[in-house]
Amino acid sequence: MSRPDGTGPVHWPGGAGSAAVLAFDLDGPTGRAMIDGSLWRRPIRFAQGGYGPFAALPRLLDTLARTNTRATFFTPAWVVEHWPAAVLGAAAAGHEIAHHGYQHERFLDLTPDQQAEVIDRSQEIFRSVLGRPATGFRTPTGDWSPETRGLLAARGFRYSSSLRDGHTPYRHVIDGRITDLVEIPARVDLDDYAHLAYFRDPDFPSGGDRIAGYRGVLASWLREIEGFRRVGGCLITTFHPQVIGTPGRARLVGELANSLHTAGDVWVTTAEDVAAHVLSTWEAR
Amino acid sequence: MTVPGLPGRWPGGARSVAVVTVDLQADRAVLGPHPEYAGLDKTLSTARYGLRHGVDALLDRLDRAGVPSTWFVPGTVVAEHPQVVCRVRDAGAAVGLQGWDVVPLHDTDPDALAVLLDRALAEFERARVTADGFRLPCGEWPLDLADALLARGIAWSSSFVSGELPFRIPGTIGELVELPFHWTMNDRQAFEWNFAPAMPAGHARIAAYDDVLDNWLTEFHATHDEGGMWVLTMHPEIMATPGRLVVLDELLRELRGQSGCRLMTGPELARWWADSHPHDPPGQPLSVFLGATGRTHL
Repeated sequence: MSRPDGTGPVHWPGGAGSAAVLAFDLDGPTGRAMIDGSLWRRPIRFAQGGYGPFAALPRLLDTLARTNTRATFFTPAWVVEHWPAAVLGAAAAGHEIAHHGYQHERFLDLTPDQQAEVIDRSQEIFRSVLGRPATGFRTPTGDWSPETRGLLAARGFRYSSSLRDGHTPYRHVIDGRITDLVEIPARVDLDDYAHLAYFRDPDFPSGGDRIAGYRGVLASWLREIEGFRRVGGCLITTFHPQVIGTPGRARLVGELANSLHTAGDVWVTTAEDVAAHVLSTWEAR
Repeated sequence: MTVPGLPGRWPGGARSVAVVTVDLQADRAVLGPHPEYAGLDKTLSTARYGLRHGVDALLDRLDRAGVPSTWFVPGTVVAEHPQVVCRVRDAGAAVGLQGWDVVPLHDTDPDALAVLLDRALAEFERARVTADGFRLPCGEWPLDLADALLARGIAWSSSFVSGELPFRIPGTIGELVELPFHWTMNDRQAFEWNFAPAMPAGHARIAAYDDVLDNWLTEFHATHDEGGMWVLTMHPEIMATPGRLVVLDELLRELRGQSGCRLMTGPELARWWADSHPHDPPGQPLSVFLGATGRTHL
């Protein structure tokens, strides 16, 4: 049973004390430049993004297979349309493909009708290419609007992983009602952009900061694993194949996965499974 | 499921290849993007360190380690420092073109682009240095650049950021081979620092040398295991500090010590790739770009 604010302790299945989801945002070349059209004169920027589904994804799928890990890929439907074999390969390997906009829109910029159109169009592409719609959602970039959650709940989405306000899943409360829309909050500490991403023209980080040393990043993430185990929460990453899917960085993902499995008490699974479990163990008010 | 397009074997049956590159931009690295910094002698002296000490230091370390290298030089640098470029040529390094100046080429119209490429190549010719290959000095790839390069006898580039595999950039009169690089293996990203004007813009701390070497070697070993291509980019004014030359020695020892890794120049690798890999695998990002834009060439 959850509290009136939708939160509550989660009892994890099979004796596990906590859960973990390796979640990837498979953005490809989508994003602001694609939406405003400037990308179509920027082949280098496009190729940087395309590296994600083309080269990084197969490498990460190998890593996940070797560590026997099922993961979640938040994937803009444009990427599903343009790299269908790659995304189908991920689905066939047992991973979850979830919603991440059509072209990685900023939902706050869209009216509720426009948001609904993005969601519905993407679900249609998912059904057509992947054979099933998404049940999970992550805001592509920036914020959502006050209406987004209601749109998701009305369309039968089981969960969102878009906010930063917890380490344990909770149920969204909309208009005073505890809903069946679960939130699996993420943390920026487990976002590879915060440690490793580096782009030029336009510059990211904007101040020109360095790519962090891989060892230190892994060590910090391993601390987070231990911390999540102690609090009994659900660790969920925000990894981007185009950032973390280089040969050397994919090894970090492997070490993370190994560490989660060898802990022995962490339920390592997809976000979809986490949401389903939370809903099944908490009754609605 | 492995990364599509990995060749299985590289020249001589090697498992992987490594290409060491150097961008020789002298003070154009600062003045190209910021002409208003002219006369800031303290800042510019950092860039001139490369000419005065760095070029010979890098050539020396590379020679001692027996590691081939590929240098990219803007036309302005060939014009202002032909003797330096000749020393690089005479040391046996491959030398490629890095545009005319260190400014973006993206919004240059085709006629202006042709003029500055010809101007740069004229400087190479005047210095009696063959320009084999091209790297963008900065910024985005201008559409139609492939033909402009192919028409001038340049057959390959190293300008895209992505990846462990060569690919092709189509023109209408032929195709370039692209040997992409990655920002991880770039010394400027890691070490460049200037107080005023601020470089980088946010005054990020100079990276710890051991962290950088560890990242480079992690990528190198993982790329070797996988059978890919590893590309390093250095700048004489950045990498050739006395202390970082010690790091470089260690790196070069590791590269040479990796059995099954073939160290190549850009021209050698590009020519081999052109001969042995006529097609990119499906899903290669540039082909998706061309499909999405309805273009046939870049």
